[in-house]
Amino acid sequence: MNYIIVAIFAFFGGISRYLLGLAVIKPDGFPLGTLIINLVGCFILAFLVQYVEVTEKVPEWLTLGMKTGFIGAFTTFSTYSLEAVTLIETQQWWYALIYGLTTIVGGLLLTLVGYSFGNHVGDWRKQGDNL
Amino acid sequence: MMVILVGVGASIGAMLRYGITNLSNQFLTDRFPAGTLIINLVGSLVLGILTGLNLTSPMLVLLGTGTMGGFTTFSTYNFELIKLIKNQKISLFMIYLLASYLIGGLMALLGLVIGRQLGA
Repeated sequence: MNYIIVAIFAFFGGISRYLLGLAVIKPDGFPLGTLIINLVGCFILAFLVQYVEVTEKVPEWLTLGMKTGFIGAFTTFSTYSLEAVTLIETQQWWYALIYGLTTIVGGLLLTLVGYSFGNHVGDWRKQGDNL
Repeated sequence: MMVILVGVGASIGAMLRYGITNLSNQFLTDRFPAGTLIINLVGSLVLGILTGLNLTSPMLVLLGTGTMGGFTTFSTYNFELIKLIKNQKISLFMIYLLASYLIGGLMALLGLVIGRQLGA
């Protein structure tokens, strides 16, 4: 049953990645789409994990679907690797450097920010319920 | 049409990821996220091969954008990195960070080379 939940949510996560990737302009060949997708996904995942932990209100199947299914399939590591290598191969050194650094640092940073947001929003939600 | 192919591919990829992560937590260590590391490295290799092969657009969208995109994950990877920092496992954090990015890039490059050879 868990596999079905993961599959259904991943269906929409993958499609969202595809459509957002098409919608974002790639300025001069810079893979801006993947960058935005991965950074947004980091924020949402950390937010969800922390929010669920604080409020203890979200059913387990929904957490699994959103985390492992939707956000897991929304973000991607393989495309990042391939795009970074392609930038190096075509000798777009500055783009490769910028893409690498923003992905590495941005991923960690947005995970931390999502974590902290999840904590706060979860707390507010809990306090609101206790009033 | 392409949208459906991506969705179906992503479903398959995500189920594979879920299965491998479960197996890894069960049989490997749960102190180091070996499952996600293996998934991301293998996924980078396979996407490289698929891209190098010069497949038709629907095939590449189904297997590459869909399956490999859904199989590998960036969000969980970063979440695990932060968890290692929070648990003060700094050397594991460095190993996980460097191994993913450096070997991931090498795997994608290796895949491209293999794919181009096979497709030529």
